[in-house]
Amino acid sequence: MTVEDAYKLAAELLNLTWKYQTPAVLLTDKHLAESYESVDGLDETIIIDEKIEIVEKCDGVFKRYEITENGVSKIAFPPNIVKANSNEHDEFGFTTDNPKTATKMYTKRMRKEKVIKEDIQKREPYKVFNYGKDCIITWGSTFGAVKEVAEELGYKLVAIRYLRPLIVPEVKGEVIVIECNYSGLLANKIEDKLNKGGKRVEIKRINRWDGRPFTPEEIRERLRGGE
Amino acid sequence: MKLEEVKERIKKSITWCPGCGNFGILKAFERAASKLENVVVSSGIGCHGKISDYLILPSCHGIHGRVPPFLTGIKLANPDLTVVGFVGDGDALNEGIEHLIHAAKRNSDITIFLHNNGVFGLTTGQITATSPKGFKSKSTPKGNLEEPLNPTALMLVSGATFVARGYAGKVEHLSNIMYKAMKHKGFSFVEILQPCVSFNNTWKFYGRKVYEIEGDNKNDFEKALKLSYEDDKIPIGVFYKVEKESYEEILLNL
Repeated sequence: MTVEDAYKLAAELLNLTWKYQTPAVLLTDKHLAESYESVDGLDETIIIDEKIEIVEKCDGVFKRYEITENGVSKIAFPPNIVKANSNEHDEFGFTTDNPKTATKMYTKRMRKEKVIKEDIQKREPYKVFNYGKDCIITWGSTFGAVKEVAEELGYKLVAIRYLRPLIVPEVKGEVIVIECNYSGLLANKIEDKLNKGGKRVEIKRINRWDGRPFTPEEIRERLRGGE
Repeated sequence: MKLEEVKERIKKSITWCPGCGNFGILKAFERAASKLENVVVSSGIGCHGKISDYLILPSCHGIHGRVPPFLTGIKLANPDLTVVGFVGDGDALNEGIEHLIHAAKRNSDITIFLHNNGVFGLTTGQITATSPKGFKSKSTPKGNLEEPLNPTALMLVSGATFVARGYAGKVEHLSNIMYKAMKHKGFSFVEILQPCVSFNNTWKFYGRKVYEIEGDNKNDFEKALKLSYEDDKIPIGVFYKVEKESYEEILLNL
């Protein structure tokens, strides 16, 4: 959303990668990277260093990829005998092409999606600004320009912070998605989510794809012009 | 899992072809590593990569060509570890050549053992950067159009501070070189001539041509380059060794 939010998310994502042992991507853009912001009390922002469990000493070969209920395995480090592997592997990290083992291990990794989604749900996956009834959804640095116009013209604004897992609030009335790409990538994903179970939500797209950020003026014009 | 159980399992699971040069490399390394503490290994993708599964050591079996940056990361995270990587000619001189050159250039305190068999073996025999010109392979049925790279020369001009060559057919000699390479502070590189019985069988060729050179502390750069390019006979031994500050030393002392 903003420079401040990127700062907070960077810390949050690092915590998440340690906790769930999956990669995380902080998606920023040129506009954000070239912006300056004044923020009050940033140093006092509580970025909690979450404790993760590390096994200090183990005998023999460590079961690095132990099959667990939530998919997350305990972690240990050298000089303990820990075998990390980018090929498919068994619970000890030895390469395998056995179909039964491969199925079990893949399923184990996919189980993480459930516990990750539950966790993200508690971390403000989106922020809502209730300035009105019809809804504008956006993500990234486009937020700044959209907020100015949403406040002025009276739209409900939903700023998405986590694109994956994508958690979208219930929305009523007209839904407009404003983003800087050709086809409306976020709009596509939201349509998929909102149009499940027979419901039909019309998503209007306001896009630009010339590599430049939206200005409030342009957003105002296109909202009024009904394009 | 208990270590005895692991040893039994490993013995039954090795999928290198009978006669593969990798057996010699494995044996040489096991002997050298037994004299050292806190060894961590990494390997890339290829027949060489399987070595991670056959060693009872902490390991990272990583992705194609990406062993060098991985090793630098491990060394920075814990400088007390002896960090060793196994790479292939396709793996490190085709796919990951930029990583290899930069690791040498910054004198990262890691050791790289190159399993040079002149083919992409795991994928059944395509040419790599080290295949000779004219070599008939699966991808070059009419003969390789290109001249090969010279691994030891490449590492010398990239700034490596320890450069050596060994041969899978001379296990004791190779083991000594591997030990010296791992003891060296800074970037160590050993090119290991590895015959591939299935797709590039150079056992007879190397058997005829390889000869051992003497000496350890070598700081004559030009001589080392000459040794790299010598091809009437093929020298094996330590070509070059100098002492310089390592990347991790500089960075961690800031």
